[in-house]
Amino acid sequence: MHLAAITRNFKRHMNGWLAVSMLGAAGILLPILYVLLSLFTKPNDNWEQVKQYLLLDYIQGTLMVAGMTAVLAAILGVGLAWLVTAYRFPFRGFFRWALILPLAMPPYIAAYTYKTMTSYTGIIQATLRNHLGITVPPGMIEVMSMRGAVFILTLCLFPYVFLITRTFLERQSSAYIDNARLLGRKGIGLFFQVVVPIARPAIIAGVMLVIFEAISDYGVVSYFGVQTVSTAIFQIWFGMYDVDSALRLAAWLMIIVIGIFLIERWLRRNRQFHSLTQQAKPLVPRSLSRWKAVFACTVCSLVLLLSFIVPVAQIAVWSVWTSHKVWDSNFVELTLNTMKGALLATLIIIIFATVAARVCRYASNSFSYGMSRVMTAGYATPGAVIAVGVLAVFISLDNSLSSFYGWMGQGEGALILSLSLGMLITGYVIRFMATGYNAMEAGYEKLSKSYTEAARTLGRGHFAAFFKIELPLIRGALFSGFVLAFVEIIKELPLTLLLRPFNFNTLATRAYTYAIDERIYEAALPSLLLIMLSLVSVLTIHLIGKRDTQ
Amino acid sequence: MNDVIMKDLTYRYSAKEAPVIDDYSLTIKQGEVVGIVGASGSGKSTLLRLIAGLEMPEQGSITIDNRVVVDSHTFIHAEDRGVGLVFQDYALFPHLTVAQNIVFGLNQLKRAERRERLVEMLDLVQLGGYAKRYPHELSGGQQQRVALARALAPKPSILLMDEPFSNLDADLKAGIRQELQDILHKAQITCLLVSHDQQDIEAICSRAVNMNTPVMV
Repeated sequence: MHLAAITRNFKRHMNGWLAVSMLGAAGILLPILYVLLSLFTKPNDNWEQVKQYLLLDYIQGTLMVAGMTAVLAAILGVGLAWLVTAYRFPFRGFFRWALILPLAMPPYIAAYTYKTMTSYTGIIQATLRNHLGITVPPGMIEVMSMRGAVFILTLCLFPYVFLITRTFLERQSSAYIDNARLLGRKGIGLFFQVVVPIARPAIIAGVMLVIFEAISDYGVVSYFGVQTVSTAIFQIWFGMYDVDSALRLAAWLMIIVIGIFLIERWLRRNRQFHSLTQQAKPLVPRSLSRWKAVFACTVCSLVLLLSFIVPVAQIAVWSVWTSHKVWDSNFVELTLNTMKGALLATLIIIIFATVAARVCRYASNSFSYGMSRVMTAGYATPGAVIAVGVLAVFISLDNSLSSFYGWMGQGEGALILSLSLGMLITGYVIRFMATGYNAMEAGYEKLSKSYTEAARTLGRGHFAAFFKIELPLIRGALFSGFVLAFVEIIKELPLTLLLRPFNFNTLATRAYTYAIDERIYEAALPSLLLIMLSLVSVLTIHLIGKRDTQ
Repeated sequence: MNDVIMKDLTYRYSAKEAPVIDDYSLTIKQGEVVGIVGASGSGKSTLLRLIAGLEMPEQGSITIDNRVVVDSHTFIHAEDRGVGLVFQDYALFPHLTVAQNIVFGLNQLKRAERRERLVEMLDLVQLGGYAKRYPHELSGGQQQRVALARALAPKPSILLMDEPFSNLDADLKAGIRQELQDILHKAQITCLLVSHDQQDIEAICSRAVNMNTPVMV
C-alpha cells in the first residue's frame, strides 16, 4: 500500500472518539499487564518464603471456596429457575423476581450478620436455649469456617445463575421442552436430559459470574479466617509492606482467572447462545399437585428467608438499637464521602463506556470484539489484583515524576499520586468499566445504525450526531449503566480498603471495620443503607429484563 | 460539468470474500434520474454507500461536481460530501418532529433562511400541515416524503435513494411513484435510485442501469 493510501485510511478511521476509547482501553490494560509482567522479574527473599510455605495453601483456599460456591450456586440457581418457570404454585410470580433480591446483600454484610446471629448470644442459640431449653453443642452451627464462607457466598451469589437461567428458560426453551414432553420425558428425566443440556450456555454464564465474585471476595473469607490468595495479598501488602510479592501473588491469582476462562471456552466449544431474534413462544408452566405445590413454595420461601429476609430483618433491628449512636454528622460526612468517590468514578466510566460502545458499533467486527473484551476485562479481574496493579503503576509514576516534584518544592521521592483519591477512582473505573460498558453496548445495539449515517449525510459530524440524535435515544441505557456501576462501586470493599487515601472511609469500609472491631450493632446502619442502595440497582436489573421481554 | 463520475470501483466486505462490486464505472449527468436494477446482494445499496461516503472502496475513484471525493489518497467524510441519501427504512429521527427532522441538516443557515427552506420543502412534498407531527404519527408514504424533504433540504449535489418502495403497500405504490416523479422533477435534482423492481425504475427514471453489466437500456 502506498503511503498516501495509508494516510488516507488513517484519516478516515482516526477521530476523537477512537482516540478516547483507545486511551480507556490502555488505562484498563496497563495495571493488569503490570501485574502479569511481575512474574518475569527477579523475586525477593520474602517471596521465596511465601512460595515455599504458603502459596499452595492460598491457591487451594481460593479454588476450594470458588469451586464449592460455584457448584452449590449452580444447583440452587438452576433448580429454582426451573421450578419458577415450569410449574405453577402459590406465590410463584412473587418468587420469580424476589429470588434475585439477595443480589442486593453484599456478602461481607451477610457474613458478620450470620456470624453474630449464630453465636452463643445470637438470636438463634439464645432462642433455642431460653424458650425451648435446647443447648446447642459448641461448634455445631459454626459459620467461622470454610463451610460458613461457602454458605454465605452461595446465598448471596446464586441469584446470578437463577436470573440468567430463568431468563433463558422463559424465552427460548419452550419448543424443546414441549417436544421432550410429547416424547414422554417428564420430571427428573426431563430436567437432567433436556433442560440442563439446552440451558448449558446460560448456566455457565451465571456460574462464571459466581466464580469471579467468589475469587474476588475479600470481606467474607477474611472475616471468617479462611486463607485465599485475595486475603494473602492484603497480608503481604499491609503486614509486610512488600508490594513486589503482592504483585507476584496477584499475578498468580490472575493466572487462575485466565485458567478458568480457558475452561469456560472449552466447556462452551461449538455451542453458541441461541439467537434471541427467533420468535419463541414462552414456556407455559404446569400445575403441581397440592403437596408438591406446598413443597415448591416452602423451598422458595426457605431460600428467600435465609438469603435475604432474615439477615435484613436482623440488621434493621440492630440499626434501630444503635441509630442514635451512629447517626451523627460524621455519618452524613461518611455518606457524602462515599457518594463523591462513587459519582466521580461512575461519571468517568459512563463517558469512556459510551465512547467505546459507540466506536465499536461502527467499527469492524474483529476490532469491536477486541475492544469490548478489553473494556470488560476488569470485571473478571479480582479487586485485589486491580488494586495491586494500580498501586504499582501509580508508585512508578510517582518515581518518574520525582524530579518534577523536587522542582515543585515537594521534595524528591514524594508520593503524591499514590496517596491521592485519584488512585482509588482509577481502581473503581477499571474494575467496573464492564458494568457501564455492557449497558451502553446493549443500548447502542438497539439503535439503528442508519440514524447516525443519516445525520452524517445531512452534513453533521460525529459530535452533532451523538448529542442531537444518539444521546436522546440511548438515555435509558445511560441511566441503567449509571445506576448499576454506581451501586457496584458503593458496595465495593477490597479495592477501597487497598487503595483509599489515609483516613478516607466509605459506607462499605466503615461497616467492615466496625464488624472487624466486633462492633456489629454499629455496623448495622451503614449496612442497611448499602442494602437499600443496592436494592435500587437490583430493581433496575429487574425493570430492564421486563422491558426486554415486552 | 457537474456530473457524478465513478471509475473502476471495487469493494468487498472482507478480505476473504470475492468483491461485491468489481471494477465498476458509471457516469451520471447533471439533472439525470438514473435507476439501478439488480438482484439482492448485487451491491446496489453498497454503491450508494460508497458515493455517500459511508463505505470506502478498495480501488477506484468517485468525483462529484468536479471534486474528487475518494481515490487512492483522498477520502472525504460523509458529512462533507454534500450528498443526500434516503435510507431504505427512512431513518427519520423518532424523537424529532417532521420540521426538526427536515431542518436537521440546515444548521449552517440563519434562522430566517432555515424557516424559509423548511416551508419550501414542506410545500414540495405537500406536508404543510404536518410540521409538528412525529414520524410515528405518519403513514409510510408520508414518512418517505419527509425523508425525501430532509435529504433535499441542504441542496445536495446528488440525491441517492435506496429501495424507495420496499416499505410501502403494493396498492399505494403506483400513486407514490407518480408523486416521487413529480417531486424529483420539480426539485430538478440529479438522482440515483436503486430498486430490485424493474417497473419502479422504468416508471421514474430517465435511464436504467444494470448493476452487473453497466450498459444503457
